[in-house]
Amino acid sequence: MRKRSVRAVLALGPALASLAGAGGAQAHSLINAGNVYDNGSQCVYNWTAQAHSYNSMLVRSLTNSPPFHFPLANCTYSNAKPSGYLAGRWESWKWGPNVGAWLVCGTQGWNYGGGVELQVGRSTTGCGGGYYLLHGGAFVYNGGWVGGWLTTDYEWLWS
Amino acid sequence: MRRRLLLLGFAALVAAVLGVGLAASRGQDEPTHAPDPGADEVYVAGPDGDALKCNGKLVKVKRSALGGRVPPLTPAQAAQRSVLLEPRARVARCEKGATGKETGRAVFVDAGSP
Repeated sequence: MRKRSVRAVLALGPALASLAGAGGAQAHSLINAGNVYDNGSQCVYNWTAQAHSYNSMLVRSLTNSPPFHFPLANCTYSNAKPSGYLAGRWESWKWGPNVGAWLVCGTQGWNYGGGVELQVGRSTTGCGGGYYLLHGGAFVYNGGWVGGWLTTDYEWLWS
Repeated sequence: MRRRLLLLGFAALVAAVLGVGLAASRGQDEPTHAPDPGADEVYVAGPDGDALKCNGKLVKVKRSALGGRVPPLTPAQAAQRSVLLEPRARVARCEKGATGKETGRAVFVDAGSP
């Protein structure tokens, strides 16, 4: 009887592995990152990521101007800003098959910070199973707000 | 031997059925286009995850209601209003009037609100 149970488990292995694989396919992040503003002295780097159950985006203030006598390099060096000079926000979008359009599932209001980097992140707002993507806006104050938005690719999420 | 083959066949059948079902459930609702970042108004998801209906009608909200495309405050204003702390996630719900009836418009509230 025990042998039979073991055989049954072994035989069902492929089915269980197939299910585990299907679930595992979504345990990765969709990331879109790059400079969304560049005037040489001020660059704004946007990193927007949808990671299974977590929405996040990152604003980084960069510059071409090196410290000390380092070589000039495009949007490479940190460009620290006072408090309130960095701002970021994300919007989570879900595909609405009943209307054939994208719906806004949720958003996190503008978050302000200072220094070189600002991170904005929160768990997904949960609009049920469907295709989701994330829209992230990264801005730095330089006499006015400069920066831009990036959108991730979409993927199926269960929540 | 025969029983083992039978079990293997059964397992393969279960895997095939589940795999096809999963693929079908994902494939049929696949997005047909990317969202338009320049749109003035957008649909929003309701508590059930489908497009929000208020008074039985689909509603759209202005993009500005989501927070706008550019930060609305200057650094000095942000510091004065103490909004440097991380705000809560917000979701759309039907606006209700004084009598509790839906007005037909959508408003954004903190996630977790009824």
